[in-house]
Amino acid sequence: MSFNSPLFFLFLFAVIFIHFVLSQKYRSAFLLFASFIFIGYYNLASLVTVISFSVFNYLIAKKIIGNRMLYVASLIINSIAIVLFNYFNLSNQDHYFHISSISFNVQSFVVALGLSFYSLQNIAYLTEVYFKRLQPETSISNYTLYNSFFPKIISGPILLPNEFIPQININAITKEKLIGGFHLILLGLVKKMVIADRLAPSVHSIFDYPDNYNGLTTLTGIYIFTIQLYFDFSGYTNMALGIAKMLGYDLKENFNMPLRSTSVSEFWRRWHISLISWFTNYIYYPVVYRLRKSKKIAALAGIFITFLISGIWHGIGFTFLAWASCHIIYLSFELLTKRFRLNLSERFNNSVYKTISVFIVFNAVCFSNIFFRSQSMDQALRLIQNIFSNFIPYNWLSEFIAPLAIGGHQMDQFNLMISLFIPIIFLLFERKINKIANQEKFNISFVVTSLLMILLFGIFASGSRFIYMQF
Amino acid sequence: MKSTLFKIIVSLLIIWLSAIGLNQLYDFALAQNCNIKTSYIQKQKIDADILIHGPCEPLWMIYPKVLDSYTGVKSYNLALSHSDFADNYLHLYLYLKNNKPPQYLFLYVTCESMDYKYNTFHTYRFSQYVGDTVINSVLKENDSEYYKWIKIPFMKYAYYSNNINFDVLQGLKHYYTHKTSPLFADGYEPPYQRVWDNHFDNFIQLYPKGYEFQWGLVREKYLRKILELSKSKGIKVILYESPVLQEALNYQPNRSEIVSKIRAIASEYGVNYIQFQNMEMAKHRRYYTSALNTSMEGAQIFTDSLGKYIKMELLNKK
Repeated sequence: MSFNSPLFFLFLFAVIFIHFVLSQKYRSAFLLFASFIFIGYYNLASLVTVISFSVFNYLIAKKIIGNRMLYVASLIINSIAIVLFNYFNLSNQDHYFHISSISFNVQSFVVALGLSFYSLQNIAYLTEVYFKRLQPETSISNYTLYNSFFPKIISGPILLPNEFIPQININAITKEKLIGGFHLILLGLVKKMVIADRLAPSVHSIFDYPDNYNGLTTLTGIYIFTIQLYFDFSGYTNMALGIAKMLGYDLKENFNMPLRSTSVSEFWRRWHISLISWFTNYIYYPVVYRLRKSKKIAALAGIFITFLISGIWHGIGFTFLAWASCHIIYLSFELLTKRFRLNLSERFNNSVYKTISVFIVFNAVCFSNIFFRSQSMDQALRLIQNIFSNFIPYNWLSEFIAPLAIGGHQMDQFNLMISLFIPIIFLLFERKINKIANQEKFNISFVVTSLLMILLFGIFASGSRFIYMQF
Repeated sequence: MKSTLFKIIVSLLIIWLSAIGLNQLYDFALAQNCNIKTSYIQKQKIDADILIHGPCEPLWMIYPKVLDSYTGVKSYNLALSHSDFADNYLHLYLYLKNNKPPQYLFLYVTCESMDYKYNTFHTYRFSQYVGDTVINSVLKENDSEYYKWIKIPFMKYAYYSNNINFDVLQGLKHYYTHKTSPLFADGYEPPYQRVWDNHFDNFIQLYPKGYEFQWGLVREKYLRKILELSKSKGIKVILYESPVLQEALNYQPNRSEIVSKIRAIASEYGVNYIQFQNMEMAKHRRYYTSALNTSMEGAQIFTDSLGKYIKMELLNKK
């Protein structure tokens, strides 16, 4: 049940309605039940996995205070779950284990819906409890809901326990929240169906057939992928936040116009914010604290370890390590040239400096995303090689427009124009659009425009998954 | 609360009215677009004596003008690229709604025609005819996901808007410029690829031991439906296969089995299945762009042969 499928909307409508009419004391139990249905519909093994991990971490937390061995062991178990998830997620072979005559597919249990996201939550919870910054949760159902809450289980946002659990008992549904949530769902749908899914075929064409295209076409395909990834993931997040809001919960924002960042460090404060907050709190700060005698070395080591683990979290493979290495290099460079860049910015006109910085950061992010999207290092290197060879197309229609438009007919060119025009307009007016979508007063023009855009330009047929579902 | 409710009602009303308005606009604009074959054959009387039908092979290979010069009767190329038999069936059905039944229907059938791996059903080509019971039943069977949506205003177009929006704009242009004839008046389209395109070489790399065709039951069902519809209208059907590049036959291990199944269906309905296999052109790649599609030169040779065949064998002219 993807967030953009008709079945999900029927499910969502029923859940919101029943949740709204239920009295406060039954709401969390109902949400847990609804989340179980959502996960169980994806597959039963995912449901078994989320319940098992919730019960395990709930019980461990009760005995963890002062027990270092138990704390370390539980961290290892949760970390192994993430590593196994990524290993089996990339594996093409089926692995089975047998109990008497019954065979179980290992993948279905390990590659469970949202496992790598809620495992991070569990690690955060155990750490907070171990260091006595948080009391162990007393209700097992509340804790299970923290892990399995259906609006966020697929791809986050990753929440710290104190950001979610206190809301369970006080979640008040107001008219404003219902309207605000509805606006966000619409915004997410527009981002997914009208922008990301329209760009997907061009990205597929350039990345999956790297031998076929010249430099400019390849470069454009790489730019388009970064834009697609942003709209796909931020669209999902808008929907997750909107659904949660309609159920009375406020989840953490995951994106803050990252493509306008003037430095890579700023980019990481604006992109996948909940993941970076987690890494900052539970990896970066502890490393920096341990090496605090030398500030610069501590910061460099913090960046190195944080992004190395972030790379492994995204997937076990050289491509994700290369992606992480790019960001380690960018951030280290920024750290070491901080003073120089500050001087430079003072010499130049602010807007010129800012524009150039945005351009450089966007290109740097796009470059790292070559590795993020490629299936293998060989594919990534071929794409990079392509950029630097035969840059200008000899025949613009057949070598540039046709591969991006998936065909050279007038209709394909028209569709490509629409697919590129909409995200450009969206990015130019992003601040204004976000402001309107976050309004808690019903905005007729926003609702009508969004729905008409979906009707006129939305991709319905693919029913495609969100990109971050794979992590 | 009252004002919010009012705003929600107003929004719903605007969306509903817009959807109905857009539905009407799309219906109108698509009907005006002469370049859409279904619109053109619904609007203009073609009344051909010989109808050529099938996927891209006949579309890019058979010139009605050349054919007419041999036969002295009118022919029209109804074929559409990448279409399967369900697609062909609906095009024939729509053609017959506004035109007199042709004397002969030449339907392209080859082994690939029976395999789901090749060609497909294009729902969006029929979205303007949603509501017609025949169209609806075929849509329901071939694209059930789409069919679920069609009762919602405008969804019949919104679902595949990427394939329709441009045609709507072109339709409006045709209306305002009073255009009545399509870009390809007799239905024939020159192939977009005119030289050898390496498809066959890639195929060999992928299947070095050849590819075993799978027999698609839905394909068979709609082939039968075309034969039944033709029979009910008194049309003489000729199933034909244009020359396949000879070296490609080595990579089709179960070809004879599939061909005999096609022949069995043909004989069940009392129609001929003609394979133009012994032509000299089949030996040379220069007449082809792929294993099945010919170059312009190859198309010219085949149309000439077909014209002579029709003249001699069917019309008994000298």
